[in-house]
Amino acid sequence: MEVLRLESVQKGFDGNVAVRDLSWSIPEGSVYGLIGPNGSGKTTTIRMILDIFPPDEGRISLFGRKPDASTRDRVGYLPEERGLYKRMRVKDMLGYLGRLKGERGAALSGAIATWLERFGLSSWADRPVEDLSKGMQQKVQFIGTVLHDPKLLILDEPFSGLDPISADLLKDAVLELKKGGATIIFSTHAMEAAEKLCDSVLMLHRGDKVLDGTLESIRAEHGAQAVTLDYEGDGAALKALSGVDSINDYGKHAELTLAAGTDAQELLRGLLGKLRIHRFESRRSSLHEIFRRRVGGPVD
Amino acid sequence: MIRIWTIAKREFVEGLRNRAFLLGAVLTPAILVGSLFLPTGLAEKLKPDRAAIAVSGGDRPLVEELERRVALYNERGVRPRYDVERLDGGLEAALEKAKPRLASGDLAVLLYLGDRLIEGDGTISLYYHTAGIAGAPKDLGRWAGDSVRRRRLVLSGARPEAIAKLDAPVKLDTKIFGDRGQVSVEEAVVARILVPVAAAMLLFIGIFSVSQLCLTNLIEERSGRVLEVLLASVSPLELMAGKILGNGMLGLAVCGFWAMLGVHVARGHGLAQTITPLQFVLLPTYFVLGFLLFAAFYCAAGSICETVKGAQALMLPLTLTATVPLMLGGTIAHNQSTGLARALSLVPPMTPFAMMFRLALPPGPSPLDIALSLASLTLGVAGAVWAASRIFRVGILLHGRAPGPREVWRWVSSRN
Repeated sequence: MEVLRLESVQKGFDGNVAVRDLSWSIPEGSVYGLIGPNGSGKTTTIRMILDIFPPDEGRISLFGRKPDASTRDRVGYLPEERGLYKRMRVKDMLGYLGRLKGERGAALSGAIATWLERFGLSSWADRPVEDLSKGMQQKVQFIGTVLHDPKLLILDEPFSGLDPISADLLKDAVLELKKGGATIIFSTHAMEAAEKLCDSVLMLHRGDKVLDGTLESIRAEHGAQAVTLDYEGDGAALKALSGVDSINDYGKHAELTLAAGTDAQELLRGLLGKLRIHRFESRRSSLHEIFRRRVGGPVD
Repeated sequence: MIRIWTIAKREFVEGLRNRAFLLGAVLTPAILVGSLFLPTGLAEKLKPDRAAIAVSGGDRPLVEELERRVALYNERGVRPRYDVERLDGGLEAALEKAKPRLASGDLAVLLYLGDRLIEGDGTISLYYHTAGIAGAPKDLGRWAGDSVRRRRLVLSGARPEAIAKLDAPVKLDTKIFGDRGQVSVEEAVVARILVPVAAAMLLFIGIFSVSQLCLTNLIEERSGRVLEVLLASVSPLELMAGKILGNGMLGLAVCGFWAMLGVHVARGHGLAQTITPLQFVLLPTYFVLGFLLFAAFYCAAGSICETVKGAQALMLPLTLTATVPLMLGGTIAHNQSTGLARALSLVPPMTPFAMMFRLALPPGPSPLDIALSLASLTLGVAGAVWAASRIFRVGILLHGRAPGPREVWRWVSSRN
């Protein structure tokens, strides 16, 4: 069953197209990556899904209907720009966010207490938000997003600014929500993170859809054989190699995308004697590499 | 509607917790009353205990007659008491001596009794300096004139009893009638000046302080990035409506407090009849409509400006327009049913303040005038809320460069 469907959606601001002719469908229970560099149209797409503003053209269907106040209550949204009322007490802030989602009474208080406990913030419940560290405030923001047990969770760069332990805590919570049946849209420009967490991805670039599908299908269709190597020596030797489509050379570390038919073992043999190789790994292209090849330039 | 109410409740509670706002709500009536009464009271307090009057010219009996009148005034115990000094040697010499003293404030006034005053063609001259003019007796010219006339009577051979009778003070009894019978001079001043000024000022302060609160909250939410979080749960229009409703309730509570305080003070001074029931009904009505008008504009300004300063600058023309009835208060007080007063009542940004002024002035505007003003204000509110909502829903999520007038107009006029 589909949770979300966009059909030929278009949105522009002051004559500039932010999202162009976008069609997208998200099945229930999936973790879908919405990826692309800054300015690719991710946030505009999310705002249209949330009915913050309507599309100029096309149709959006959320839970089988046009987005409105009732569909909004079934969605949890963690925006990239975090914001809480600084002088409000943590539990009052969460209570306010919960009430705006239609939650009330003991159920709401119980959910607040449970989530605060889970994130180790129970002792901070009566403190004003401004007393909390930035990481703690991000956790509070996340709790505010999931308090009402949303059926669709939209997370915009959820791990940015979090320490590794807090990031793991949040990742586990997200996966648990997925197990509970929630559908998750994970918006990010960090493709490595999307690759680890998502079943499928939609890739945008300057408002256009570049790729859409499961990770496997994207890799199968657009991926190529790639090589990662750690080396010592003159990197010019890499540029002299034949059968290589693209090279991303960092001086001691390089990522190479191979042309069709190129044998990685042949490539390794060609490098031996020219460079001192510490590591050589043959693999499929990453999303980042696929994106670079698709749009023909660096990721912003 | 539940979401609007949730937002309104938060705005109301946070407003009540805002110490600066509460302090303003409590202090405003005190400052207002102080600003109305303090100038008179302060001027009285600042008067010196004694002040000097120099007299030049005139013969001894004329000067003695003048001194007698000054002494009579001094007997009333009013500050300052006046000492009369003689300066001999003609006007030029007297002026030379008096000028430095007038400039230093040591001398309040130099009075010169010209030649041939008794004969009927002389002149009494008064010389002041700005430094001491505030301490000079305002009736000195009249006292000198009365002294001259009395001397003329004495020199004409009139009998002393007849002169005493002619010179005897005439008692003055002033009666002022209001709509509900006779009122004292104090009540008349309160009804004619203080109540209209206080009513219009309180409405002005109430509307602008609460609209301002709406604006600062909105700017804080913009800069604190809370808006996008809220907009995931409510529509921009629900957010704007909740803010206006919550702050409106806060404003009504504050204005209600001021009105109760006003009635209490008026009752305490036996002046309760200067406040009419119609004022009580229409004060909240004009407050609500006026607040909706200005809050809508302030919300629109807050949605397109990054800072409070920027939004205030944008709102300045409208704010200044609203002050016109207050600046023309004297003219309206003279006659509240003139064409000017009626015209001001029909221009929405000025309507609430012009009408509060007029309502407080007996006999008050006609029912037709009230109905027309309410109709024009309601239309203004509908237009302002409609335009503001269209600006708000687009502007609220924009950051960086403020949109120009053409862009804002496009938002208002777009069909979407």
